[in-house]
Amino acid sequence: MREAGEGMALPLKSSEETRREFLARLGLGACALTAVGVGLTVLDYLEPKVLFEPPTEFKAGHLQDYPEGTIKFDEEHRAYIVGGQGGVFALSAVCTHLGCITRYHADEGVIACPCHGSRFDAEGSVVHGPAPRALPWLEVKADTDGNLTVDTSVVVPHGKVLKV
Amino acid sequence: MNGNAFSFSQLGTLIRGSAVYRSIVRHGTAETNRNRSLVIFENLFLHVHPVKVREKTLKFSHTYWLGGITVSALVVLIATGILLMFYYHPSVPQAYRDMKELKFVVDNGVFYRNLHRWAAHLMVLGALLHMGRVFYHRAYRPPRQFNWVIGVVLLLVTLLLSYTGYLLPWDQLAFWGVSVGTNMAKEAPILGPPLRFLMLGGNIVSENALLRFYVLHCVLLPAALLGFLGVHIWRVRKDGGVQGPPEPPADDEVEP
Amino acid sequence: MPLRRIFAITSILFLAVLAVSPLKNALRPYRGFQRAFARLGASRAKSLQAAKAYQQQPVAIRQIWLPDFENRVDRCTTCHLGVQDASMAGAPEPFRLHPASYHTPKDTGRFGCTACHGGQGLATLEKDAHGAVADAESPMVPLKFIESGCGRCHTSEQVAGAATLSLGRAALERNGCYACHTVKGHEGFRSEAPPIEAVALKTGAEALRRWLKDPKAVDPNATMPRFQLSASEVEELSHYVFSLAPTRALADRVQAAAAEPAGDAAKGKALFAESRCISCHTVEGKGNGSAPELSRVASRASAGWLLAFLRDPHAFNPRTRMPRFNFSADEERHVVAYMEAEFKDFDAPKEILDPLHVNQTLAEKGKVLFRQKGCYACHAPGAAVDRFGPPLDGIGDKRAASLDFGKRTDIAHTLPAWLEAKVQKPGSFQDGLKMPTFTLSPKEAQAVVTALLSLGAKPVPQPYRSVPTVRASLLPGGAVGALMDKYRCLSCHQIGDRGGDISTAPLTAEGSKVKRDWLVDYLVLSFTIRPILTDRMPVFQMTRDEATQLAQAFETFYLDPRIPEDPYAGQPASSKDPVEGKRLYDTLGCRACHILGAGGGYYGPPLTEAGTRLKPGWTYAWLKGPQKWRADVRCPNYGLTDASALQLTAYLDTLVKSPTASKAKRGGTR
Repeated sequence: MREAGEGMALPLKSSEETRREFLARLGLGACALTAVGVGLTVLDYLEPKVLFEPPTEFKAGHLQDYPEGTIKFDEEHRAYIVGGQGGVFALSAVCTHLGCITRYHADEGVIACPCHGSRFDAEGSVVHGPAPRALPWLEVKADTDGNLTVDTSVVVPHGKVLKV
Repeated sequence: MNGNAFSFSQLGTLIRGSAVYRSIVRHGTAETNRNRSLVIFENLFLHVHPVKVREKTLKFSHTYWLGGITVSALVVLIATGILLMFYYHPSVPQAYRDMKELKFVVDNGVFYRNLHRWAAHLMVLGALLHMGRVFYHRAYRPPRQFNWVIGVVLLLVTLLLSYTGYLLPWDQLAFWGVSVGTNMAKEAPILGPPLRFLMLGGNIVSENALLRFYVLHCVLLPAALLGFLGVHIWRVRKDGGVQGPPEPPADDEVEP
Repeated sequence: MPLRRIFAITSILFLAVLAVSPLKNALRPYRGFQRAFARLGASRAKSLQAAKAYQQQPVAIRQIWLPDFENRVDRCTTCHLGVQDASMAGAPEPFRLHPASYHTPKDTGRFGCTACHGGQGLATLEKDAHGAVADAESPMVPLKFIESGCGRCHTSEQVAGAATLSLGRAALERNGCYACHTVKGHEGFRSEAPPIEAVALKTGAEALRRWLKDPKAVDPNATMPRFQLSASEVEELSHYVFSLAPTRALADRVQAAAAEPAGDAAKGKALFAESRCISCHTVEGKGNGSAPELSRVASRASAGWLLAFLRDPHAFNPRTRMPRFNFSADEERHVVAYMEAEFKDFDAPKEILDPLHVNQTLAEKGKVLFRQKGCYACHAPGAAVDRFGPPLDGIGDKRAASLDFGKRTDIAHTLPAWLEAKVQKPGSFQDGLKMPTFTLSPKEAQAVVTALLSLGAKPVPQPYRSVPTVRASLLPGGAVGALMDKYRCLSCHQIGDRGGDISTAPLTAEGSKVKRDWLVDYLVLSFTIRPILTDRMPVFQMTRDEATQLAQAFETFYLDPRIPEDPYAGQPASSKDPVEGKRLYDTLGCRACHILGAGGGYYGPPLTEAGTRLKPGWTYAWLKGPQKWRADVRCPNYGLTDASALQLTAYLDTLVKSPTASKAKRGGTR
């Protein structure tokens, strides 16, 4: 520690002595490199390498469970599975304003956020504020038997319906 | 080489001239005694340090740098300890699992854990040797008798830190080590049994004990250590700096 | 002043030391495995796209996390990357596809890997993961004992598909392990060893000596283990056994039987074969082997005892599995005469069955020995509820470090190796151990170790516990219970999760399956149902009254709610178009396995008289999905619609035997 302190002051004091200066700079350079390395290593250390989170992909029943006009709210995975015109799609239930969980109100046919009053229609488009964007559409896949899986980590373009 | 040196010192000047540097180090760059004093006086982190020390007190043979080594170990312990806290849960099945996570999953996890461990050993060893050195150099005598007592307290806190940290991995060694240790404490007259009950938060080494030891290890004891350490270093300065081997002529090491 | 030099050198050293850890980190072995797997996958891929997919997989730790299953985290798939990848069949380890089994590949996400294989799921280094480090918490289970994993969740005695485990559990029971060792679920175990008070009535001094020395040498089917007794210990125990006084009633029975005139050995031979004694016993190794070998029994038991025992086995040993046959007194004498003539050890000394003149001192010593050796655990189990052997619960999770290897320096320091040596040669660990030698074949030893390893320290969480679908259902008391006890149905048949494994026909749902009249006929005179199997059901000479009583009880007790009582829903069977049913029978190819009338295959049971034997509800339920009732059955599931299944049922229901044929065939019943 003390060596470092003394070395730090050296280049200014004795600039004419090349050998001393070289050694001091060598030491300082190594210290600097170490500091950078430690910084990077700590960052690496802090980055989690495994996650204990529920899988983003989940099973959402069968195609036939969603005739046109049905909206099913999956509370655990925070998504709506909607039977729309000509197919099925999934909507994120996380409000685009500040991340509260919205609810579907069947009597009014709107998806409303309890926190700041944003309202969306059944396709996720904003009916009125403060939400800045429509609810994202999530990827829905069906296997050959018509069993559905939804992946909340994959956002698909608005209007991409899984055809029945 | 020379060109590099140029830019190197230019960079230094650039930094020293910047507004940020000047708002932190509020004094000129001239190498005058006044400026050197100002550096110390005007900085919270340096002001316990004396403005001037005798060069011979910096010699290795004077103090064997034992106090400095101990403090360096403490710095390493605090840094690695904070890193370890990012992955540690003080709960019963999870604590031991976190040790495995550090080993098997976390990048450099074993390194930081081992660094923490070896630094802890070094700190205890350093503190003991430092104490021995002070004893043999008769540095406990007035005016330093108060600082000797502070030093003893620091040693105790260090040992307690070491001991409370021992339980945290929650392996067999930890469990039995703490079982045995707290039973020793129980043997103390009158105060022993209630002390053990308080320490463990119960009668057996269980999740309560783990949590209590965790809080002691990560909050209370480090806070106490840092407090006493501040006083200790401050007293070193007020009592006339470090005392090396006693010399026949009267000591006049201090400059105010 | 070399201060700057020291500074430069230490700084560079410091840098080097700090660089070691990130370097080691970058070289973690799993990264190499994942890159190798990407190359292998790309080289084996069928399409360019698939190859790209392999190469684009990020290098990262993979894990299966089971929060509901003891919060298990299995990272095995970090290196074993191909276990669920069909294109990795036959690939080199660690990338090979997991062979298909009951729970793979479909349940890998539910059970993870360590539930069956053991090992440390959290680890990402080979040695740690496989438990090849000193005193590992849970080293991997050797593949030889892999079925122990099944047994952690499947706690029933018989586990379908786990033959070794089932064999091992049966062996634990049969060898009487539970008499000395406590195991949860077997607290009620009582050995079927005979009470020793009556032994003096049965056998002679020399025969007893030979037996005590090595029971299996006398009778290969013996369940009694060898106790490594010295000659003097054998002598003392013999004196003790002969010093005990049998009950007056039993002694009288044997004496009276001995005085009876001899029967006709030729008739006895016919009866012996007709009664199918070798369904349980063996004669010169031929037979089932679950009851004593009979070829030398007359040199082990006196004629009087044999006759008295055959007359009422349960009076001599209330826990024997031997049923009571309804022989007439003459028939009993014939059978014993046959045994006396044929089943003798002609090399044995004449005085082998002579009794012993008891020396009281020796008998006293023998009494002490009887306690010391723990004989009472099996031979006087009423008195000995204290199971002195160490409890076996949790033995599957014992650490190798906590085991005493004693003199056995020749075996690996692992739990399976220790157990294998222990069950085969318990005495080899240390002198003077109490546990006797059971003479297990290597296969049995493997099975027993598998069963022992399945005894975990903690039960698996509730949702993972597999409980047998039908628990020990009501075993009737009263007259029917007495009858079932007399004929010892449970020695061979299973009811619920109780009973033996000799018969392939569990009785749990018998009342829903067969018609009562047929059952009565069958009980009176049993015959084989499948032409390719030999007869095994003993002919008990049951009276028609008894048979009717049993059949009635079966129809009341042993029903399965999943089998409909009347599949036709109140309408007559003819309304379901049996003609169409016959057409279905022909087109589906049932003939390939079943005999009907003159032709057909031999694999399945004949259906000529299906309507007489089977209840239509059962036929219907079976046709709707045979595998639902017996997992290993070969009868294909044709996926019949309800209507077609009913038509076929109605057709089979019309297949009844003609009254005249029945009379001719069953002429001999009484």
